[in-house]
Amino acid sequence: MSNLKGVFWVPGLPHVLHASERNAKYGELKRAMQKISEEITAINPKKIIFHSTQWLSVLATSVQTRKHLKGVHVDENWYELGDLPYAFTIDQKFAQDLTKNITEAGLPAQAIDYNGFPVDTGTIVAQTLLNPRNIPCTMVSSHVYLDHDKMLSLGQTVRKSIEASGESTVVIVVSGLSGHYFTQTIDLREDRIREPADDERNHKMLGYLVEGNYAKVRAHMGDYARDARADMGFKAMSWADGVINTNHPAEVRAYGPIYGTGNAVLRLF
Amino acid sequence: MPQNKHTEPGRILAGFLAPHPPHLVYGENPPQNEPRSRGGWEGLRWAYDACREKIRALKPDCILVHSPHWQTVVGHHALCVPELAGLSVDPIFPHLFRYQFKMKVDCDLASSIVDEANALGLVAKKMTNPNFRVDYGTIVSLHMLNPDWDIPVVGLSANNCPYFYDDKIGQDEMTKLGKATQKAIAKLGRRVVLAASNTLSHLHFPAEPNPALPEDMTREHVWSQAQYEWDVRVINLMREGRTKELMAILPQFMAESFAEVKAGSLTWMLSAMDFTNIPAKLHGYGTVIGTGNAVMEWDLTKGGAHV
Repeated sequence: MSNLKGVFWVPGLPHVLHASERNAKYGELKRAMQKISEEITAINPKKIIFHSTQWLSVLATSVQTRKHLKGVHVDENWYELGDLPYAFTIDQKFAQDLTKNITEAGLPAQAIDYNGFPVDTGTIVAQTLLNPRNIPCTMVSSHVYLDHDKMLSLGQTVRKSIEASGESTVVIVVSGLSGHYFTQTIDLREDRIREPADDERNHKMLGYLVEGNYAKVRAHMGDYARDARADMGFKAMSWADGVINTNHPAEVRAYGPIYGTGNAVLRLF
Repeated sequence: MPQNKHTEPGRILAGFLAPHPPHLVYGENPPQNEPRSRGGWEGLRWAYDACREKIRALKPDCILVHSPHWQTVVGHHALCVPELAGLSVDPIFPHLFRYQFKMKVDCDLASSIVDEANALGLVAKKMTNPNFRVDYGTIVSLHMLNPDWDIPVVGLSANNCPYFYDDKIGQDEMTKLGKATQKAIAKLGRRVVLAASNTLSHLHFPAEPNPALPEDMTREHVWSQAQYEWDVRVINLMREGRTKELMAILPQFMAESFAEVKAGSLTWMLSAMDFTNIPAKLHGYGTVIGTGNAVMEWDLTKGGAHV
C-alpha cells in the first residue's frame, strides 16, 4: 500500500484567508480548503509536503530543513489585507533525505536552514487553512529553471522519497490556474476571471484532470500555460503529475477568481 | 499636508546606477550582515566608494531607490512607514545575505510621489504596514551608497507591467513614474539623489561555480562575449550622454541579454532626470555570477541640457 495518502491543489493568494467575506467565490474557495483540512485530520498523516509556486529558487530546488519556523509575514502585494502569522514544524529527517535524493536523481538541490528565511504567502495560506494542527512538514521550492520534464522527474523523486520514508504523507500543491491579474484597483465584490477565454481554458484543463487523462494534460499544457498565462507556466502540475505517477481522476471542490486570476481547489489523488 | 523643507523648489542632485547583487554586501563584511567572507568583487565594491564620497558632499535630504526585487502586480508602491527594521534574508542567496536593516523613510515624499503618480493616471499606493520586510535589492543598493544609513530614504516597487505587457507599455509606465517623482521632489522642496537598483546584462551561471567559497574570484567572469559587448555599448552611451540613443536600444538590450533594466529602474531614474544628456561617470564595472554590473553617476549639479 502506498504511503501517499492524498494530493491536493489549492490557491495561495491571501484573499481566501483575509477577505473571504468580501466575495462569495473567495468564501467557496476557503470552505473547500477547510474541508480538506478535515480530510487531512481524518487521514492523520505523519507529514505534509508543500510545493508552492510563490517560493522561487534560482540556483537549485530548495528544501526547507530548519526545525521550527515562526514569524509574521507581510505580502509584498497584498499587505493591505493583513499580516500572515505562521508557525511550522519541519520533518527534518525527511527533508534532508529528500534533498539528498533529488541530488542523486541528477537535479540540483539545496537544504535551507536559516533563521529568518522568508516563507512565502502561498505556503502560509495553505498551512493556516489546511494544517492548523501543525503536522510536521517540509517545503519544496519552485525552481524557475526546471522545465516541465524536469519538474515531472522531480515529482517522481518526491514520490520515491515518500515511499522510502515508510510514513503516510499528504502533498499540497499551492498554485493558481490562469494568471491574468487585474492591474487596476478593483472592488473585490466584483472580482471575476479577467479574460473570458481564460475561464474556458481553465475549465478545459480541469476537464482533462477530472477524466484522469494526464496524457491530455501534458499534450495541452504548453498552449494552456502560454495562452492563460498560467501560474509559473503550470509547472506545478507537472510536479504533481510526477508525484501521483498515474492517471487518477481529480475532484474539483471549488473554482473561482482572485483578482482576475483563475483558481481551483482540487483533490488530485 | 507635506511641508517644504526648503523655500526653493526641490531638485535632483544626482542619479546613480546602483546594482544590488548581495555578493557586494557579503564581500564587504559589514556588521549588519551575518555571513562572513574573505572579500570578493572588490572592483565593484570599491566603485561605490566614489558614490559614498559624493553623497557625503551633496548632503541630500533623501535617497530614493527603485528596486526590481519588490515586484508589485497592482500599481507602483512606495514604502511609507516612518521607520522600518528587521532581518532581511535573501531567498536566493541566504548563505550570503542575512542583514539586520533599519531605515528611516521620508513618508511625506513617499506620499507625494504616490499622489503625483495617481494624478498622472498611474495606480500607486503607500505601503503602510510596519511589519513589511524590505527587499534585498533596496537594502543592498542603499547600503552600498550610504552604509551609515543616516539619510532618510524612499523605496519604490517595480510594477510588473514590463513583464506583463510589452516593453513599450512597461517603460512608458516607468517614464510617467519618473515624472511623478520629479514633481513630488520639486513641490516638497527636497534635495535628493536617485538610485536605479539595476544590473545590466542578466544571464548568469546556473549554479555557484564554487559553493565551498562563493567569493572564489578565479571562477568569476562574464557570461558571454556577446553579453559583455552589450554592457560596454550601453555603458558607453551613458558615458557619452547619448541618452536618446540609449532609450532607443534598450528593448533590444533587454531581449538579447535579459537585461534587468527591463524592470524599469533605469527608465524611471532617467525620466525623473528629464533624460539628461549629462555624461555619466563610470565608477566601476564587474560581473557577479556572470551578470554585468556598472556603478555609474550622473551629477546634475553640473547642469546640462535635456533630451
